[in-house]
Amino acid sequence: MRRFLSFRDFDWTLLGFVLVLSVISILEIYSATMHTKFVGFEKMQMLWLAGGLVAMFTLSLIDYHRLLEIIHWIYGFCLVSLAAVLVVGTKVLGARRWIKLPGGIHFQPSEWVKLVLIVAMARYFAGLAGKTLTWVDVFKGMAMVGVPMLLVLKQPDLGTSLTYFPILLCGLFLGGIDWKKATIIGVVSVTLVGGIWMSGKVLKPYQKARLTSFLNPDNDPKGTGYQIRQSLIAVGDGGVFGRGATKGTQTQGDFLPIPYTDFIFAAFCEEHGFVGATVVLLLYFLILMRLIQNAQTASDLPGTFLVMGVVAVLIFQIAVNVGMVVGLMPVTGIPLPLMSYGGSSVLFTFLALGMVMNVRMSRFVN
Amino acid sequence: MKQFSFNRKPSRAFPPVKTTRTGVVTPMRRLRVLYVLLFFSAWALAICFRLVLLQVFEHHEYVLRAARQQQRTFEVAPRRGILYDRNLHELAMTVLADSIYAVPSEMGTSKAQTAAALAKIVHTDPSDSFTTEKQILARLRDSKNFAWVARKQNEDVIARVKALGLKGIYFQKEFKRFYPDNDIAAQVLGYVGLDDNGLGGIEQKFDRQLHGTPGRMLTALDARRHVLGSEERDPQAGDNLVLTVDSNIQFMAEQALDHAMERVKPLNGTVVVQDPHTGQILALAIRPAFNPNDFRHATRDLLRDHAVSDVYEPGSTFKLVTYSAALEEKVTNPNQMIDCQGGKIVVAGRTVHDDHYNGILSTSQALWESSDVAAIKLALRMGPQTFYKYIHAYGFGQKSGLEVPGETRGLVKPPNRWQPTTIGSIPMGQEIGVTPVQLITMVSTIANGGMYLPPHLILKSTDLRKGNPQLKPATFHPGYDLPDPLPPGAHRVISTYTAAEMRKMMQGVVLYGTGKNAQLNGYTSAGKTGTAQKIDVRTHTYSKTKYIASFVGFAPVNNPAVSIAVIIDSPSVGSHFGSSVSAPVFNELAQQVLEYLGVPHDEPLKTAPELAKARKAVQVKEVDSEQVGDLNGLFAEVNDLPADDPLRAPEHDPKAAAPLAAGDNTLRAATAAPAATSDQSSADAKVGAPPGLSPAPSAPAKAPASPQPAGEPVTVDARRRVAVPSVVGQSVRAVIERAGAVGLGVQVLGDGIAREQAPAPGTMVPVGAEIVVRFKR
Repeated sequence: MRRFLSFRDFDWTLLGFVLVLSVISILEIYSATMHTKFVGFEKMQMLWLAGGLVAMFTLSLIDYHRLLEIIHWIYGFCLVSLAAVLVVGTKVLGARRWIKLPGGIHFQPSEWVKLVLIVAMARYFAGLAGKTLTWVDVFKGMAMVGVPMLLVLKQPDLGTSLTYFPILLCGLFLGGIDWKKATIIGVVSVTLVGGIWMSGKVLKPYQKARLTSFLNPDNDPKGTGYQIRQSLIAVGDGGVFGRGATKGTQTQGDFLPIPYTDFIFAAFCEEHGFVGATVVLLLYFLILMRLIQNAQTASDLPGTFLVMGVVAVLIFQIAVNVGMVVGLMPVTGIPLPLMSYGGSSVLFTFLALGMVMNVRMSRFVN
Repeated sequence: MKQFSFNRKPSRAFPPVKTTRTGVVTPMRRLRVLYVLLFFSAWALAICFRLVLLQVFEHHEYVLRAARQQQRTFEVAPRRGILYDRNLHELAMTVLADSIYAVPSEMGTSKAQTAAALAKIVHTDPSDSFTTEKQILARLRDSKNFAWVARKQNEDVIARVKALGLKGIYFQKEFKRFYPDNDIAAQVLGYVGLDDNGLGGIEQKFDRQLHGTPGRMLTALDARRHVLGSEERDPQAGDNLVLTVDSNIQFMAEQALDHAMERVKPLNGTVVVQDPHTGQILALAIRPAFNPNDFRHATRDLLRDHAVSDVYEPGSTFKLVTYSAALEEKVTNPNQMIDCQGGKIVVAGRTVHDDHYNGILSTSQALWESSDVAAIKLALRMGPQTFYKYIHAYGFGQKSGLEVPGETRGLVKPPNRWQPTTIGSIPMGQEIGVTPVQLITMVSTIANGGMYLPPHLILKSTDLRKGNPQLKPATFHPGYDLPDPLPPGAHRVISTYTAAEMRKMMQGVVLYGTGKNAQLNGYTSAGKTGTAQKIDVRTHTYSKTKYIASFVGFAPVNNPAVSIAVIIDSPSVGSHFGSSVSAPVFNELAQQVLEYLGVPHDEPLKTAPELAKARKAVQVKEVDSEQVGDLNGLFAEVNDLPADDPLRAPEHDPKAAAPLAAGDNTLRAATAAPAATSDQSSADAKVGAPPGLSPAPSAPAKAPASPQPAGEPVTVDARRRVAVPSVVGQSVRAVIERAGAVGLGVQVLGDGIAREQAPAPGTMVPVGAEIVVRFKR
């Protein structure tokens, strides 16, 4: 099937919002690293952005149906590489997350699995469209996400594995699960999570501490609680208009942990205040609105699922990260998409956007 | 929904891709998509509320919290004031030194190795417990953000530590007290601890003034405690103090004392040099000394300022009080004859012996020979009340107010607590405890014409808060007049006339009596020896082996430039007499000081052979006698001292002392010198009487070179008056020699050739009077 794609149908508005946010991100990375040994990271981020844009345009030209067709092979390959990481992966800071490839390239499969899962879910649940989901369907979907999740959790990388969760949720929800099943699943998961928590088998103590310290950061002022406290102080210190770019004392004084990645929103809040934070949240809202509109105008069901999968992952990451910064969520090490420094995060986001673009451009193509 | 075809039983997890074109999403799905949007909106709203709470309502609290962790108020140490000598030579100053500190949280797990590596370099002094490896490690483990490693280290140590390149080790400049002359005047200056706190001497006494006011620094810090911010209020440097000490004279005093330390190896020695006309202390030397730059090695004993915190029984030097009081009270005059009763007197049933036989002597001779009997007889003539009045007037039994910490007032009983025998002890310097500073102030009183002037160590201070007055050197020039107006605390003790008589008599001690070793070359000198047995504080008895040999005196006789006290505690080699142990120190020191001060010679200089001869002639017979006085009573006095008096230290606790050993009247005196005239120092045990003396008739021979009309001290009597010679047209030196030849002093005004004199030539004036001569070039 010959398809004709036109950049006229490319979502330039969406790209505009994304680029505005990326510029804000670069400026904040500059401010947050100017007095540290990470000075110059904003230039690296620019390179990643350039790479991300190229990747986005490239992927936007590849028909997503092609991806859907071969996704089971890619999925299989992902499982193998995740297993391989556990065996031959490079150990960094106590976690095996990377595979060292010839030529000095470090490959972290868990990031790409996100993308693969979005596509796989789209294919699976779109295929089930129109029927009421049976328990078997539900369990198959769960297994599809659950297996890679457990493998990543084993690395251990709690943050990344959690980001797989919204993909499943999105699939089930849009796949048409009925409220009864949803309620049962909800109750069972709560019980299960509670059981896992109590058993202390799956989650390591430091992970548990990290997940609870946000409730009472002053109990653990030196560990994770320290990060939350410093983040809250930074946000509160910002006030309505902020301390001004490069003037945040929490950020510049090295009190705020990793202010260029996970806590970049705290740094931004300190330097630009409530006004700046609202602007950023508004940009995220507009981007998500735009994405959802694209989902609804997709030419077919898999396209809708694809876009919504991306939306789900983004919402989850934004909600958890910003929630963490303002003390409403635990510290999980999930970066803020489009803001945090980091090549993997940038590449994932832009590849995901590339897929969305392709879905949009395929609207009127047959 | 129905428009989608689907496989009811998907055989694979991935059903075939459906490419069915569906322009529209089903209503259910559209609804659910909107739920997602709704969820995000709700969440965003929650975040916004949270942000409003944090950034608007709780903003100020978080600003405070940020400030609390980001800012620190530091005290900025002020620069400690400088201690100058009177010529503005720095005795103690403040320099910058590097201190090493650690930020333990940056060290990770290498604390133990770091501590070991550091200790190897900084722990140079085994007695310094602060820098042992164990202590450093303990401090590193104790704190997360800050721990001292070693403070105020020298450049070499700092360079070596820097070379190690250790993680988490930093350096900071701190003020360090530095004493450029090391141990010069150490006990007077004291020293300061690590935190700039004065711990002895003037450093302690004037700590508050010297320390200055700390500044405050509001500092912005980052999470690693690196300082980002700046200062708020400058520290105020401490006041600078100018001491009355002349470091050159101080050096001479210490050198002379060192020689004595080598010669007789005593426990310790004290030399005080005072300006008799102002009461200013010019030098205060104590040996053994310590180096205040390295105070850790100073024992508590070394830090003691013996000159004010130790009392000792002065022995025969105290007879100056007895004799001057007797002269002032006119119960005798220098030529009145006193029957020394063969060197033996019974007071309230106790027999006091002179060292040797003394017959009938003039009052002057009795002083030369240091007759105890004569001293007791004079005191008996005055009576305890009158005698005590003078003791008190000379400043004994009271703190002198010298500006050093730990001064004692000494041990002096008021007459109503005297035992019947006390009047037989105090006149010869027993049963009384004095400090060297009290003693020299008494001597200066006689030297300056009878005016008690409180001793002082501080000349002036700058008060930086009232601007910074320019300091000017106050070089010491021997004065001729008492200060006008008199300083607070000054009072007349004896008349100028009595003082002049005393000076003559004291000159006799040097010329004919026990103090011949104190004869100077080219200068007249006067003084009094003393040899006191030390008190064994444990038994309250006099030691038979330990003596305190002292000499007090001044020079030149007629217008003393300096008075000097030399107190040597427990000489262990050779003689233990003041005449042979302490007088030579006076000799060496006075000679140097007078020449340094440019005091004109008032005697012809001796040639080398003459000097040798003079030295040979001075061979003092040494005899002593021991008797037991009422020491328990003296010790009981300790209980009357203020609580902070250094004498109340535990070892002096009278309760701990055993009862006084009963009579131990060993009398060795009379056996010694058959030569009639010499009367030994009083018998009281503790006061070994001053040394032997040569028979009076031989005196001129013994002071060979002196061309002076020998008569002076001898030809008292009716011919007390001499005619003033004409001196106009002569040089300073010639005038002094000429006047000295007839027994007159000269007050020199200006320099060059004598132009005017008063009184006029031919006027009859008393011997010892001063003529005023104005010189011009």
